[in-house]
Amino acid sequence: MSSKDKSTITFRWHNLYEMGRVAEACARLWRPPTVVLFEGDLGVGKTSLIQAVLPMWGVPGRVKSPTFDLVHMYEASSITVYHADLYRINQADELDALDLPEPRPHEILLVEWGAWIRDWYRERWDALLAMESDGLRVLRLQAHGTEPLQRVAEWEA
Amino acid sequence: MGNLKVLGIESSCDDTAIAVVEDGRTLVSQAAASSAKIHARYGGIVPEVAAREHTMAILPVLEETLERAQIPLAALDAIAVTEGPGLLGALLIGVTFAKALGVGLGIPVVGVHHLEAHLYANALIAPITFPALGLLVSGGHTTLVLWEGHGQLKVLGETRDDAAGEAFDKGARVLGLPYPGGPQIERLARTVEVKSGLRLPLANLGSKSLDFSFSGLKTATREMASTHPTRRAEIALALEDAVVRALVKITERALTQYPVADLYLAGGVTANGALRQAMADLAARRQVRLHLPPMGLCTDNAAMVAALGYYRLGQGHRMKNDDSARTTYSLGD
Repeated sequence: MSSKDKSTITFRWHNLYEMGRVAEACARLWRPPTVVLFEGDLGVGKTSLIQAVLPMWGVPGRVKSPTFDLVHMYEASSITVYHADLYRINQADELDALDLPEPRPHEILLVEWGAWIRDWYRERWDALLAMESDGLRVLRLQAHGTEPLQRVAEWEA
Repeated sequence: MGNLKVLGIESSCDDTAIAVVEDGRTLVSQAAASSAKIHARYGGIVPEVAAREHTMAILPVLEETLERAQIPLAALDAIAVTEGPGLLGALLIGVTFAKALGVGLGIPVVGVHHLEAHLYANALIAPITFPALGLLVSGGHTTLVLWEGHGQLKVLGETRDDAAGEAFDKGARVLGLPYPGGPQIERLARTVEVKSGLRLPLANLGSKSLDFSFSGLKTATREMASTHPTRRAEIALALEDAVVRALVKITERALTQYPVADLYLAGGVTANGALRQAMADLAARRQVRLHLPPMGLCTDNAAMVAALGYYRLGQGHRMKNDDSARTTYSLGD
């Protein structure tokens, strides 16, 4: 299901059960404070993966697409999750209006179509989703910065 | 004293709209400035653009509304404003404007819920008959409610991922059509002369669930578009058909679980002709009365805000000095 090199962990899954296992792994790898920037074509499953991860952090209730509202915030007992979507953003100066945080110790920022703000965060994960043949999904999780790289080093594929 | 004139203000998203409604029933006048053209360029709603546009537009829109109504400011009895949910910058402009105007004129101000207000577009045709089912379908929402009285709403089901309008918007993007996607998809779908076998799947969330799910349609539409690149119109029709079928199926299930006599639709997707027809067929089949909002009041408008405001004022609701916009505001809260 997973393999890794120095900075990247790669996950593959065929179905919802396997995606749940990947979500579990992501929920353990992404610890607050952290930033995860998602990229991948329309319909590849960015929101679906995030929907599977959030309950594992104890976020109650429904996780809906943030495309229309741009940012959704979720609070659980010890964690605050910002789920943003930059799908509608077309130029960089529009990003300022979103008030995206520099994550504090209990905060996690998950951003779909997040390539826009790669320069903002030295410590982050780039989560690249793709669909291969027969509906096989691939997640390439690239660590950037000290803490994420440390997590990859400790990870047992 | 004549009829109660409520000024409605709506600025939760991309339109700055103001209207005067009498007794929650009669639309006296309305005006709006839409930044939809700017948004079309961006493929969606951009908050900074929206806030700037609202600031520029709100005063001229008020003046135009009053001019059309041929009444002075002093003739207003109360103000209703959308307080949420929506984009903070956009909401704040409407709320702040309403409060200032209320203080200046010495008249009450009431805040309303944007989605509940959508249902009240129907009150501009005839008073609401309770109990009823309400289906809100728009770019950001797909929500089914049991509506037992003014201010008494219970959410029965909603989308678990994308809204129905978002399915249209993203499907349109896949097919290379501009924003907003709903009217574009409908226009392209109507060009199909012979109905083809292309069909997109419906989500199955269990036989009792009143929730919706449209996110799977994105992948399915994309796959269909790459398999059949020359059949865009048929794909548009398949997408429209899948969205409509899902909405009708869950609404029919809700009518079985909550056998009320009246069904109200609201929201921008209600403008879709195929949905209107399919819901009319459902209503005939189930022998319920179907209520559709006036064609021009399906998308965001201020008349619906004023109509709901009238009823909330009657129930004693008032906006306090320190009340502000509510970006996340649950229906029935």
